[in-house]
Amino acid sequence: MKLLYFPGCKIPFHLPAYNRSTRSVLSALEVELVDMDLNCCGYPVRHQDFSAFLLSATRNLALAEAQGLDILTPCKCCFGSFKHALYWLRRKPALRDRINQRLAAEKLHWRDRSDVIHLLSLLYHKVGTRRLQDHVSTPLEHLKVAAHYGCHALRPAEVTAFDNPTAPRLFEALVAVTGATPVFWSRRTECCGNPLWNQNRNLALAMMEKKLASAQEVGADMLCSACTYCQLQFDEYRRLHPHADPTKGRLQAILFPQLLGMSMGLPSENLGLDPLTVTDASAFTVQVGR
Amino acid sequence: MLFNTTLYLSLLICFAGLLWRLKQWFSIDIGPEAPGTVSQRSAATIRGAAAAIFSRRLPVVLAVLLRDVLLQMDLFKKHRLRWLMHMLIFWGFGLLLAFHALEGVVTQRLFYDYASTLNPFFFLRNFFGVIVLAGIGIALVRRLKIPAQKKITGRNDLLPLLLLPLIIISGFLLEATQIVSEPIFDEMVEDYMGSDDSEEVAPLRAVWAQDYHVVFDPSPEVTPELLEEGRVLNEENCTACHSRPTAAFASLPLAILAKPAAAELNRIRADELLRHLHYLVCFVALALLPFTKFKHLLTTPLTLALRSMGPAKASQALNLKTRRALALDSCTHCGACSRVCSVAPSAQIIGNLDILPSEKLISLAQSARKNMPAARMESFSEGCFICTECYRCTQVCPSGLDLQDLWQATKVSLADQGFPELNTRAVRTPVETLLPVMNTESSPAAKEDTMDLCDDPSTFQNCVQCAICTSVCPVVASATEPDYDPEIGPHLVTNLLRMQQMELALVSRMVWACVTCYQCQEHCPQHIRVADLLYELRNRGWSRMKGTPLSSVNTEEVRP
Repeated sequence: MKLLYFPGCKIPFHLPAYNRSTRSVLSALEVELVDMDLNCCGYPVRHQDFSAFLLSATRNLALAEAQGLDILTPCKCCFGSFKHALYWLRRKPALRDRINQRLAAEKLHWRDRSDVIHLLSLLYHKVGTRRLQDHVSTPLEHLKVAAHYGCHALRPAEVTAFDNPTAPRLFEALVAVTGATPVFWSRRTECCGNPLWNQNRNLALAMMEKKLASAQEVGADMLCSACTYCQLQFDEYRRLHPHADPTKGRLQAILFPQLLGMSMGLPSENLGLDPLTVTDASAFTVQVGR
Repeated sequence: MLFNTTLYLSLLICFAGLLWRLKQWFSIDIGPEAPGTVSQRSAATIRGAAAAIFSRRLPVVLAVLLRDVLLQMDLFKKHRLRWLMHMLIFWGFGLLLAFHALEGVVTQRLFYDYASTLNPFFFLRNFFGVIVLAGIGIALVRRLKIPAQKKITGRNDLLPLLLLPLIIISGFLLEATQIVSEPIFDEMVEDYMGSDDSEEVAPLRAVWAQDYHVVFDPSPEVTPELLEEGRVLNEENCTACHSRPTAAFASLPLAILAKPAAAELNRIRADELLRHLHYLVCFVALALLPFTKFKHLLTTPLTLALRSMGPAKASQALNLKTRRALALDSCTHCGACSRVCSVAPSAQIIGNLDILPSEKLISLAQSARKNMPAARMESFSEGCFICTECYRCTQVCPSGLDLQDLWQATKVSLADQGFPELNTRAVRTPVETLLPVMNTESSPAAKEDTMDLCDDPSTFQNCVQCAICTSVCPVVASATEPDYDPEIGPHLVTNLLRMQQMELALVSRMVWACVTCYQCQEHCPQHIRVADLLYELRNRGWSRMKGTPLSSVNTEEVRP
């Protein structure tokens, strides 16, 4: 299997661990990733200018088409952004024509020949839980994990077609593959608060706090995310602002490929489990009993 | 006299300019850390430099200077043509400067029998001159032919590409007029042969007319006998210090081309005129060094050396500020960053060049020197906050600038100065202040550039005000007074749209505090695209805030 890898803007500087763990896990699963110079998916600029968002997203889609590849992204916001772009491009010929006119300067053209897939969908639908199971050598028994879905892959389901938007099960099924027990928690499909981080930090923290409390209540040992922005919210941003943190002592978050990689027996340095981050390797290794 | 006056004047201007730059490095204040005084910052730099010199890092720093400054290995790996261009100009001009311009200081001391008219110097001058021109040629073609490069090319980029070839070409022309010059021939005969007897000199004239391309007026008699005799004289008096000009492979063709007009050129002493021009251009370039891109000759090696000692973040707060200020002067505006910029498509649509790192840096220099008008600050802030911090510009910068640190620090500074991103400002601006801004119609985006929802009643008229959207909204659930009006909710926004109260909808806190989680849209029993509507309202509000800048508006800081 060969896919065009789209890490997105935040991973290279802010969350390199997601890159490392995704690549390690996929390489063990024999999924080939192609690297290319791609631009921003358009997610952040969608707040400001729809057309700037659409050109950003479509340029990447057109580049993927030119390679004859589908796009794989580990970020749910990038994933959602591409899905929205595809949705509107398919429905509004006027929009599509305008964007194609702009792309023509670079001899690019969007013809709707490439799709986009999120890391979790790839693992669940394309690799499959049965094949994943074969790679699990160290089941993470006794570990209770709260799977955090992330909004932009899940909703609107009409656009993203990721899973059932009100009762999803894909992420829990993947967590179960690692040997850990997925917990059911009431706020599993709610927002992490990250989009408000700059506008209103109090509110962003309040939303995160509610989530963390909800996972803790049902006895989860940790949160598990599969989105760059969500993980940044639970990890780097929380760490950078300890004073404003009402969530101290709350659960830590781990990225799904890190969890999966541990169950596959991959070394923690290949998974970017860095003791300096909130996602502290030692904390997790204690919990998984290694 | 004229030579000395202009030389010292240009040296003085250059020196004063460098001092001014130096002061800027210790006073420009970018980022949230405590600024420190000029003396504190210069003391911190001296301490840092001393520590570096006596540390084990010194060999590493020297190795970096050799590898990345003299050989440009980093650029070689990234882009061969640009490496070639830079090497041709750098080494060509550097060697001309050392052995030709500074011949009295360098070359004469190294070679006791040095004469500028001897080979290999005769040849090398031409050779290095031609290499510089080749390098400049590549640079010009790149600047003017590559669309992305052309877009960011300005006067400051073209000035060096004009001055350098002017120096080289005036040098070639000077040499060409010297080759054909009869007056210079006469001076040399007087100086080195010590004769002004025309009978005695006639054979030499024949040789120099024939072999050295001097143009005499009237043309001398050239016979085999005279030539034979002349060659002996030439051997005795001239060849020890003067090679034949065949080695001057660039100036000689020019001299041959000029031959028909040479008598007139000799009469007006064109060589003297060109000599003055050549010096003048050199001195202008010298005087302009601190004020133009030429300054990167000094600042970029300094930045590369600093980088080799660790990332900017690791330096002391005071030195961090100095490094940021130095970075402003180390950019060569090569545009490598803007070509890899992740948000370049946004720059294309929004039309704000400050989105592109190479241009943002120029604006940052302007805003850091505190001479940017408020209206420009608005667009500068927009450019800065559209950056997604993808780190690519930092990774490709051939000058080794820690741009990532610069952009992050700039965002904090901008927020402190009252120019955070527009969404944040909208959230923090009191409704009564925001309302007149939103009331002003700006040129809205064309229908075919949007989802076209909020002007089309069919997208929201089916709302039955059941408020399910509001009951599933996590912002509504978490928002508390006094940050938010307790009466916020997506259903109120759709209701305002139904009542054709667009302006009131645009100032709604719900619009600006939406986390885009799409719970509302997913749960709407009437299938209204609630979250998409909120997105589109933000787009519209954004364009109205751009039309009527908020800079006069008092932005209240939100509580920490």
